[in-house]
Parts: sequence; C-alpha cells; structure tokens
Amino acid sequence: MYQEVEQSLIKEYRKNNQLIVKVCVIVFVLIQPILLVFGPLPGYLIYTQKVSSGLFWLSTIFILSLSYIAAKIYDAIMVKEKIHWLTLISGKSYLYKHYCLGQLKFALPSMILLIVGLYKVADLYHAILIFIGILILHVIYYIFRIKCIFSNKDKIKTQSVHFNITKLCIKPNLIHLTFYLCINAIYLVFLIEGINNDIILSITIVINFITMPITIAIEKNVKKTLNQYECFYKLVSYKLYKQIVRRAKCFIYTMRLAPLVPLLFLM
Amino acid sequence: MNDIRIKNLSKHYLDKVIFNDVNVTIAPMKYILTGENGSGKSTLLSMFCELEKPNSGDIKIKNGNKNYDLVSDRVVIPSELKVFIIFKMYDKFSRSDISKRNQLINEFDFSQYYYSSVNALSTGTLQKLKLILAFSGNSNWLFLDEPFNGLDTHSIEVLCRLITKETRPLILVDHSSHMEQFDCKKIIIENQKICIKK
Repeated sequence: MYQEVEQSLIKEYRKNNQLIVKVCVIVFVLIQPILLVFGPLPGYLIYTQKVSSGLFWLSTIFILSLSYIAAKIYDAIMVKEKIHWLTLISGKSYLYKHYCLGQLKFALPSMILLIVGLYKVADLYHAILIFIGILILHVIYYIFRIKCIFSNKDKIKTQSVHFNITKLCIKPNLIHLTFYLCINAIYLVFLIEGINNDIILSITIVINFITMPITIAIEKNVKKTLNQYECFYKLVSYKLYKQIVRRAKCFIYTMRLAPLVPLLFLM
Repeated sequence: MNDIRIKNLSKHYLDKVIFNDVNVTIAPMKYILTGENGSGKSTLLSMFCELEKPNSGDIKIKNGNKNYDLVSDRVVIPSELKVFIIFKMYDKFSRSDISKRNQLINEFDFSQYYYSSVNALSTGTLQKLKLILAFSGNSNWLFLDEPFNGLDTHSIEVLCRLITKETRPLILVDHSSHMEQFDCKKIIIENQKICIKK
C-alpha cells in the first residue's frame, strides 16, 4: 500500500517539477568525471582519519548534508496529509517502517559514497563498523522525523506575519533554492580561484544556462502561490497584496541577475 | 455614500454572455442576490472585489473598491498558517474589530482552534473562520457567497442572527431555505441584466 502511494506521489512531484528534474539529470551527467575521481574520497576520509582531524569532520558534514537534503526532498514529496490515512488502515508501525525504508532509498547517494569509500581501506572491519554506525544514525533520525511529523503538537515557531508570508512563498521552492545556491556556491569558488577572464565568461554562461530553468521554475511556483492566495491577501489588505507582489518580483529579478554580476568585473 | 455604480458592464466567458451592457447603481443596504445557476452571481461578486475584470465597462464602489469583506469559496486561506497568525494579520492592518471578533469566536464556539493550522480545520470550521473574519471586519461592504455551506445547525442560527443584526450593507448569495427569513431587497440577474426589486 505504502509503495503505491509513494510511487504516485513521486510521479506527481516529478510532473510538477519537470524542470528541476531535467536540470538535476543534466548536472548529474556533467559532474560524472568529478564523481568518478573524487566520489570515494569522503567515505575513505571518514574511515581512515582520526576524529580530531578536520578532514574527518569535513567529510562527515558533506555526507550528512547530502542525506539531510535527500530527507528534505522526501518529506516534500510525502506530504503528511496524503499519507496520514495509512496509519488508520495499517497502523503507525507500518507507516514508520516504510517511511524509514523510503528515506533510506533517497539516502542512497550518501550510502553509495560511503560504500565506494570502503575500497582500499586497510582496516575493513573497523570501516564497516563505522558504516553501520552511520546507517543506524540515519535510521534514528528518520524515526525522530516521522514522530515529529505525526505528533499532534502545534508548535508555534514565530508569530511574525511577514515571516509567515515569506515562508509560504519559499517553502514550495526550497529544493530549487538549495540547488540554485549550491550551483552559485561552486561558481563562487571558481571565481575566487582567480581564473582568467575567458574562463569566467564561459563559466558564467554555463552557470546561467543551468540556473535559468531553476529561476523560471521558481518564478512559476511563486506566481502560482500568489494567484492562489490573491483573494485572501486582498481581503487582509490591498497594501499587503501589493507589498507581496513587489517583494516576489524583487526576489525573482535578484535570482535572475545574480549569476550575471561577475560579468561586471570583466568590463 | 458607498454606492456600487455599475457602468456599461459586459462580461462573457468564451461565447457565453453573462452580462451585456449593464447600468445600475446599488445603494448601500442589505440585498439578496438571486438568479439561476450559472447566471453570474458569483462572477458579479468577484468583479465587485476586483478578482475578475469585466470585458468592458466598470464597477466602482464609492470610497474605493478595495474595502470589502468576503465569504466565498474563492477565498483560499494559506493552509499552513495558524489561525491566530491570520487574526494577527488582520490586526496589523487594522482590518477588524478585536472585541467583536472575540465575541464571534465565542458564539461560533471557535476558541479551541485558535492555535490550529488552517489545514487541520474541517470544511465547516474553515467556513466559521471566514465568517468570523468577515463579520468582525471594518469594511464598507460585506459580500457573502453561499455562507451557509458546511455549517452545523447551531452555527446556522448564529449566522442568521448575525445577518439580521449586521449594520453594514451586504449582498448575500444563497439558494437555501434560510433566505426566506431575511427582509432584504433583491438583486435579480435575468437575461444578462441586473435589476433591483423589493
């Protein structure tokens, strides 16, 4: 039962986010050579470096961040309202078990990086123990998450009106934004390296080529959210509606123009 | 005062004409808006609220079109917001009378939902929230599009009392039998025209 719901929700999510899926595939293909060369490195460093070593922590943070992003994507797909009914039919333990398995499927990239890291490790027994430890850590986190999601406590995070409105616009775009920021962070690293103008120009073109569809997707989502709630915002205050529209436009234009800024330095 | 002036209004969806060159002035008082299904009642309210644009002509509410309260299915409240945040939003823009709202919360037996998210509310409870927001609002006009939808018997009684007591001008659209008890003028949509009758 859970698998069918999961599959239909993933299908629905893919359909609604076709652009980001395409961009992800393109980026994945483009970074294949980097993955092949540096892929085993984070896992290897975790198994071989001491806990006091900076490289150990850097690799751990990298792996955990990857898992965290995957978990967030899974949560965005498996919306609470759409899976809650399963607890009534099959019970909580059934849902918890399958939720953890589903999350683990999404954490597969982290797991693969950890497994390929086992290659060439001298003390394999010790490394496997660390790997199992990380796996258990993942499962504990997933159980904690599902419990948080289904706890009926209505936690009040903030009372700020503007924060809540901004959150409404940003939440459906969280994955797109994370992706956008990651790409731009890599871009920034290249620029800081001080490479020559021609390379900056070509990288800028590539980055714009990748970020443009993301920006278009975000723009589409923001417009959809605004249209959906237009009547409510206007009821609260016409001024508020105008304010939100203005901010959304600023946000989109900033996203569109940000990757072009380095070109100014070439002039 | 706060007349609604409709000038040369025409509205059509593809080849279906809803309004054809309508000219009418609606004085501020209580009205029941009637007409057959698909005659354009909700469209008219949407145009009053500037949610839809006429194909030609214009609708003007004196003192600005932007001052109204509306209960309708078209009002989609963000499901992730908590009820008290919505009240805070209204307060921030001085859109409601707080004491009246508290009174309505009691009358509709709504206090238990104060800290709930909108997505946790049932259809009837959500309708109660819309009614609380609309009746505690301080706008010039109140538009109610099928306000009895999803309400329980007690809430229907409360709503009937509220409509009777309401001092602001209002336009009410509904097909239920509760309408018979209100002594209001009628706005009738017939043959793509609007007429007002006692």
